[in-house]
Amino acid sequence: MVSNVSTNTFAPSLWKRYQRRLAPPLFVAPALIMFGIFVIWPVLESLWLSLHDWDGIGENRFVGLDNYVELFRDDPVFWTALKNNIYWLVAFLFAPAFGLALALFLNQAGLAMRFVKSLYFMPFVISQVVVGLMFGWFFNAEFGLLNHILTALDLPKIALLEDERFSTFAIIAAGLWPQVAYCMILYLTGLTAINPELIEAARMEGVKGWKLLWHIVLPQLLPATSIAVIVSVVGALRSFDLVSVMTGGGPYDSSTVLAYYMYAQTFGALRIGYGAAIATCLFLLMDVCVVIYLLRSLPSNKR
Amino acid sequence: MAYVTLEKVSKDFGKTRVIDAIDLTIDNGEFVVFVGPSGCGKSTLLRLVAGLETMTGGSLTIDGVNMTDVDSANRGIAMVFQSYALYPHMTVAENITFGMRMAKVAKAEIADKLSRAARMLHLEPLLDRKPAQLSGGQRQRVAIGRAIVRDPSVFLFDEPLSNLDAALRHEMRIEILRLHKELGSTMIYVTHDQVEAMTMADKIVVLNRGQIEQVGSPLDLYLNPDNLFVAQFLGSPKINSFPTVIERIEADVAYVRLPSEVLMAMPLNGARAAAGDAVTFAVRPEHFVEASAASAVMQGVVELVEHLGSDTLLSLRTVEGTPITVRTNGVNRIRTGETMAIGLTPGNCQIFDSSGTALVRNSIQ
Amino acid sequence: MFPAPITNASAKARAGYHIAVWIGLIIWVLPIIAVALTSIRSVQDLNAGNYWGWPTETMFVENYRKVFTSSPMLRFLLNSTVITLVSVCGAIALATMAGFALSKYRFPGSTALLALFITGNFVPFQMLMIPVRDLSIHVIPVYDTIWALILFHIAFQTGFCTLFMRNFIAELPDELIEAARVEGVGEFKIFWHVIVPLVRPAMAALFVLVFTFVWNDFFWSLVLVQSDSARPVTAGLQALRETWTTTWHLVSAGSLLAAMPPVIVFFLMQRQFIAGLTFGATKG
Repeated sequence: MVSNVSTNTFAPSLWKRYQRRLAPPLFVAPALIMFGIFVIWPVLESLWLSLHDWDGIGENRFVGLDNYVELFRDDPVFWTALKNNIYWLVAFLFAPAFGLALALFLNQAGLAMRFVKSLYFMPFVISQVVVGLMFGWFFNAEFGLLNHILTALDLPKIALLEDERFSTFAIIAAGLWPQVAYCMILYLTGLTAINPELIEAARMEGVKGWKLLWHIVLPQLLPATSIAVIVSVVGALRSFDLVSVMTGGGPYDSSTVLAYYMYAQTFGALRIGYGAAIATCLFLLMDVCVVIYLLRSLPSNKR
Repeated sequence: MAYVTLEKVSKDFGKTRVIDAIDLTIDNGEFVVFVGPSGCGKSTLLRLVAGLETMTGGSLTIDGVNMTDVDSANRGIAMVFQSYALYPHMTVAENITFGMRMAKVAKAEIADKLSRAARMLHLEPLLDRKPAQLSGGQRQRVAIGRAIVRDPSVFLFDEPLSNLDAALRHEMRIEILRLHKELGSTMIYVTHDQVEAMTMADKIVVLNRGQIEQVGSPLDLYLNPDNLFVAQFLGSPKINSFPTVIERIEADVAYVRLPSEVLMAMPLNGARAAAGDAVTFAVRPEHFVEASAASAVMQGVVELVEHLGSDTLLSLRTVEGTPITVRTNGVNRIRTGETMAIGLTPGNCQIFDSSGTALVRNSIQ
Repeated sequence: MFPAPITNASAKARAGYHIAVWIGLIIWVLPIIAVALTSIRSVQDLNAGNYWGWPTETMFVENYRKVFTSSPMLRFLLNSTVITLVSVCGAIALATMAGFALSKYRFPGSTALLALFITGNFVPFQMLMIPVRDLSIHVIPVYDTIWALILFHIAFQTGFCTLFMRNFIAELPDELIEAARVEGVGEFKIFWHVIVPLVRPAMAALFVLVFTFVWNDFFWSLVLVQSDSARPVTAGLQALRETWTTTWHLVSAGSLLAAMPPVIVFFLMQRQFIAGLTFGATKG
């Protein structure tokens, strides 16, 4: 039997000999480099900047934790922004529940149903700028549809977006629209993945309705719930687009959130260090939420 | 000279020693089967020969060349995986010629090798199909085809038939043996199925917990197992084994007490033993004889009769409650509840000592 | 299936259900319907205060043509297209390589790298804003060009995409790679000829997802771009609102144009989109 052993040299090139060890770093390198330059490094630089006072042009002065002290002690807008972020967070934690309700409502088979489900999902696919526009009109003080309906019901008009008390909630309502659509899809997928035999076995034992949902279905939906919660938390804290487009943080900063406030301070007030400090606070807030989430989900989730 | 030599080959996974200093020689053109229970290390040993795992210790030589540190691709081996590992997105022809195409072998040579392999394995009508469109047996043949075109010194098979149904397995066994005859190559074959081992091998290597229990031809191992493990591993139904004690030894004959109140005399043939030694007495279901021809006769009540047609399997229970399995030729009309007498001759039986090593062998060749 | 299949219910219940679903749908997508209607409304309608009723005449062609002729909308759409397509392809290419390395090879630091990509995903954009802007002005001078957005999006989306690819490739049988190695095929050839053809479904899912994320991005369009020549459609639309003020029909038409492409891509590749979004949802 002819073997091709002798045709291969036993002193092959360096690459041939070690490629299995050299290849992985080479595969990872491009992604790592890009990520490092545009994500990792900027995080570190922002942290560093937050300890400085700078307007972008003049001198970059080290001030230690002064920015943070000012934020916590002297800045009422910071606290408003933080408070609003908490509102967003709490409101968005309802998104999975609403999404689940919609998913349960729509979980039927059929070609028409498939089309319908896609349409219900539309809000998530549309740019937040457009969502903000749509809801801005909906809430408009003069001609908004909401006020049309109120007038038709003989109720006084309200100017949600111009009212300090309600502006943030109006924006949150706009934000919930795509978020609920996202959670709905997560649950629809989760529902179709449940082993049908489980449901059949439970039905045979006479379990149905709410009991079936609570004891059998929901536990099976744990992975979907897991993701729904985390994306809702991240989404709540990320909200910039809607605030920017609908109210610009107003009136009088009443609807601002940390993400927007940071932007305003950096480009509006030209306080780069201060803006970086705000961003860091937002980062920390997000980390706290993620850690809480991980700690609660890791024991039940195996990688 | 041996074609494949393993010297003190060991493999550790972390702190666990999976293969323990194995020595083995394989001759050119031999069909060797590694067999053993799950976890015995047979697949690991095969992968060490293939180069898919690195040895913790020891050396491997193929055709005179030390391959211990050589890459899989350069060892002159080809492997057929248990799951076939066919590239799902390539046609049969592309699967078989993938390695050659990547090595920029001349087109004419590729075509030539492909057609030879396709002919040998009856794959010609399937060359343009994708693996998903093939049956299990066909996929198996494609995997073998991929191995053939490498013209390897050694073929390695990792439980290739375990994913096939019984009828197909029988068919493929014959295919693989035919291939072996035609190519004449050295083949190392791993299986957990002792029927495959018995029917296919020139030489069987029985492995247990990372060590070799015995190496030899199938009949050698079947008729003259070195130890109790091999005796119990080969043979279906399993060999009858009765733990007992040597009552006394007289003139190089050991007397052992057997179930159904029988005293059996076994010539020791010089083996060292003492009265009072704990031993295991073993006899295969088909090695019982007529009571008239026996030196000792056991009795049991028939509990179960299984008619295979070609022979009959009987499950007996002695007065002590010990189960005995007997195999008789043809159709045996005995009924459950009846008592059956079965005879033993020393030439058909074996004794294993307390460590499981054969003390007294039978004289069947 | 839960809830119980509606086909088992009476014809009346079935009809009731379907009516409820469609009414619910109309209410749910009312904002979109409203904008669509307004985009074909005539100026007279708007002046007469008919904002929500049925348009008296449909000015579809006229309104949409006006959008293109009176604004840089075409430029914006073109920019978005280029930015999105290049970013998506770039991110997927980098992520497939990295995902392959992180799932099929064991090398020191691979777990740490994976953790890095995961956590990078959770970083709020604001944390990156100033340094990235700085980078694009001083270090790699691409500020105010589409390349600033392209480079950033490739870099950022690579985090999520790498994680996704890594999980997907991990499911491919190791034996495929071993078989190729035994055949003497080199690592890069294995990647190109064995892995890449098999990850096409994952690439499709990522394409749709990342397309949506990048096309709809607003924040970075604000931060990295100033002039209309490089502006994508999200920031462009917002800028146009200032010029168009009360010409609602134009604003609506522009909004729909901006929103359409991801919707179209979604409808064309629905299954992949949902598979991409929910990849972890059924496995946990």
